[in-house]
Amino acid sequence: MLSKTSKDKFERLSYAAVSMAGLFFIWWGVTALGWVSPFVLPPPWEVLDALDRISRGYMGGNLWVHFSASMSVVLSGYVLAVIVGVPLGMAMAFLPVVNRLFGPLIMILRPVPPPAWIPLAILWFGIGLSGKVFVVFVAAVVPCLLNAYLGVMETPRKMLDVARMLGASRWTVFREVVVPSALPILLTGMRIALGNAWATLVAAELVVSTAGFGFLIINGYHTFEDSIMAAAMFPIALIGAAMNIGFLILEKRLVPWRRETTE
Amino acid sequence: MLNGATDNSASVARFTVWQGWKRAVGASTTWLSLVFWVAVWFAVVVSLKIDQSLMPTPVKVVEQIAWLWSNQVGAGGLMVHILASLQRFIGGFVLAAFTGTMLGLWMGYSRRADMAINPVFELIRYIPPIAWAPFSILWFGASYGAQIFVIFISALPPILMNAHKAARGIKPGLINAALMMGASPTTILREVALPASLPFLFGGLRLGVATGWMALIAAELVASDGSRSGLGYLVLIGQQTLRPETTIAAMIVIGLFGAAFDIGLQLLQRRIIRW
Repeated sequence: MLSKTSKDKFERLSYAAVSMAGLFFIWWGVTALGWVSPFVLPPPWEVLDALDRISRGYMGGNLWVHFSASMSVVLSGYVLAVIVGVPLGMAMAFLPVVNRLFGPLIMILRPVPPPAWIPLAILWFGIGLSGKVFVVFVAAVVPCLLNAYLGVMETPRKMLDVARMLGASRWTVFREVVVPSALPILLTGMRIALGNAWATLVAAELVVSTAGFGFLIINGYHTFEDSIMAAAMFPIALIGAAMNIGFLILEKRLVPWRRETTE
Repeated sequence: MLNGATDNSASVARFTVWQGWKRAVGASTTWLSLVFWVAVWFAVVVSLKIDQSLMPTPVKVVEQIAWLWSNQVGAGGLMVHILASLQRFIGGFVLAAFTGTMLGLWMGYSRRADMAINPVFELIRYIPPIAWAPFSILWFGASYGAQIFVIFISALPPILMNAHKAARGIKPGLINAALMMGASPTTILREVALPASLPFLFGGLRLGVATGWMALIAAELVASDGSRSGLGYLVLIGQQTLRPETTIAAMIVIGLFGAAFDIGLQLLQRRIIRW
């Protein structure tokens, strides 16, 4: 049994390696042979060179400066969204008045894509950090709020009844029944919110910014350096992947009782 | 958005929310709440004497929708911008739906295809679609190609993943049973495989519509200098000319279309999938 799974793993890995290597060689080949102009697709070595240039300092800072510029905005907006979204979502689930007041507002605002808020944010908060924090907040707050609401609402009725019948106080019911039942859904929402936040931040940085990875991309575009553009996309993908995978691990740790996702 | 596509609970959430829509539209409290919020908006702007170049009153926004309809901004009137956005959206979405469904079904059918394509896909998936915008302007031009490519790359992951799930979700037992009863391959495809996979396919398409529409607006913001058309362009030009009423009017139109797509797909889904 064990040998079978390890064989399967080996097969998967080798297929992955071959297809990645193949893709890389196509990229390397068409650019080295001059089939594709370096102004359309930068050769791999130029991208590496660009990564090196960025890490040594490019457009007002090294890699760390751009990293912390992007990260500080995304985390501030995200934390704000969690602080506002989760309690509001729970309040909507517990108090019908709150639900009737905010529910329709959220339903109306929800179909407006977060990037559409970027210009208003610039208008209201200027081109500095606070405008981007606002846009990230808008992008992240809805999944937090909705999944907090849904998580509470989907607490099995029977469990609540049983707990009450056994004489649990409201606080005990909340802590011992509602929270454990709602947490998996809430955490999923928070993970989706983080992904949304990251994608929206990149969009905001493309539209207006003075530092950060999105800024590097759009700056490379304006100075006709597509190697910089490509080089900046790698850290964006890496950070996005790291945040998602990190959150998944956290979810497993925090909610080991989580039902396996229906396959 | 990107990550939400992989999550079942996310699609469940969407579903319940729009179920909620239907109930909510009939409820008087919904309308009361909306009237309340518009009143708050109006009262805040008027009582705090907020500069009209920062935040217009709701009345002004409604007037602006009418004004945009009959006046030219950028490439034309409101209808021109709506049509430009729709054209781009449909182009990118149809491409993504076709490619995603084909690739996904193939990956579900052939283990080798799955093992070869999946890693590449995992890599691309984590790049926010909008990050492709500058490259896609370089490759396909700012007027249509760039936006179509960004929509394509954003709508592809959810459609592909759900098609993959759909193909894997067809139980071998069902197919064997059909085979045993002497069904032809076409019959199996029509009577077994398709009904079993359609719900997943639809789920993917709905997520694809949502992410694609969002990506379109973002792409139109980034490529606005080159195109001067589209609803995203209107949103941005409102800010640049200090006319937030244009920005908000365009956002309302964007939201209406986004909601209409989702409701339309849901109705279609209910009509086709009756089981």
